[in-house]
Amino acid sequence: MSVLGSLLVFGCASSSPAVRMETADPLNKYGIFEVVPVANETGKSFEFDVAEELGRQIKSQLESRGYVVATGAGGTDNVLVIKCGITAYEPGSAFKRWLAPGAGKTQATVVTSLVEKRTGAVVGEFLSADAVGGGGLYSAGADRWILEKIAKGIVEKIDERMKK
Amino acid sequence: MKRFIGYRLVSIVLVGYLIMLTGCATTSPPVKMVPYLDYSTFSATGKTIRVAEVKVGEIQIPAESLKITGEAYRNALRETLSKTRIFQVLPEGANADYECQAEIISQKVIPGLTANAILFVHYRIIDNRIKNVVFKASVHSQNDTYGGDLTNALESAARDNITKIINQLSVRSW
Repeated sequence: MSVLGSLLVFGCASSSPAVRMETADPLNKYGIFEVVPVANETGKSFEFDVAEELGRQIKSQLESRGYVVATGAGGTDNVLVIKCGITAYEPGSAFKRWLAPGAGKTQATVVTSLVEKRTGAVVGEFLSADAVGGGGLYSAGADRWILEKIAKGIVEKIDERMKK
Repeated sequence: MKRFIGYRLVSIVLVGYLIMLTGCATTSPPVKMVPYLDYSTFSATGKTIRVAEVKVGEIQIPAESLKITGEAYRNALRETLSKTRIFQVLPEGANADYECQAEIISQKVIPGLTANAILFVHYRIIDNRIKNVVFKASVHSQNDTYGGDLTNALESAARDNITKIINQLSVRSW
């Protein structure tokens, strides 16, 4: 029951990014996505490769929605490149959150650029920032699923623009 | 005695949660947004600029009073540009060589023992002679402040953001 509760509170939600698009045009002219390796711009290394994890999550979210994700540098027509950089990441600690509420916050900030491969033009930019500051021991694993939430938010915004 | 200790623990935990939720918030409006730079290092171009009204987009802050207003950000931009002398900043209505347009796409404050203030701003410089965008950049800045001074966190993020754009403008030829 507790696990279900924590999933309800933390696990299902996406983290909606702030969005700036160059034009109001929909993105449905792009048929293929290319996710370039995510950059870890924090200057720090962590227990696991946070950049690789975020890239993997974005690809997985795109594929689960039926989009084609290019595995290599294929053609350039109709390809939208997704470039992400993790600018801030703090793994936090569920134990600290349990011990002293407010301490041990997990936090991540990701900047995303959507680039038209053919022209190299930036068509949109997202800023995702999320944190887990509570939940005590039930929030264990937040260091990974905060990246999943952010990836979900990015893909949801792209999906919205594809259907507009 | 045990019950007393129990009550104490519960009250400490409750106070902790309250701090976490409100960020022991100082929430006066952010005003100190002009960066602390060595302004003597910048070179004057002799060109003039007008700073347009700053648009404000998404706001995710714990208190309305904490919001960076478009006017406050515009004033900080004007003052910073004037201090650098990269451009001579002209008043509203004057004919300037360039127009600086800024939009605060997002301002977000995540409270807690360590408060995170995150600012995302898009800047454009229009050449008024050719009526074209000659420079554009989106700048993101973040300040993590321990102790819950949310105003200070947001002001620091704003100063950092303006510093980044000034550094980009200063290395370009105009």
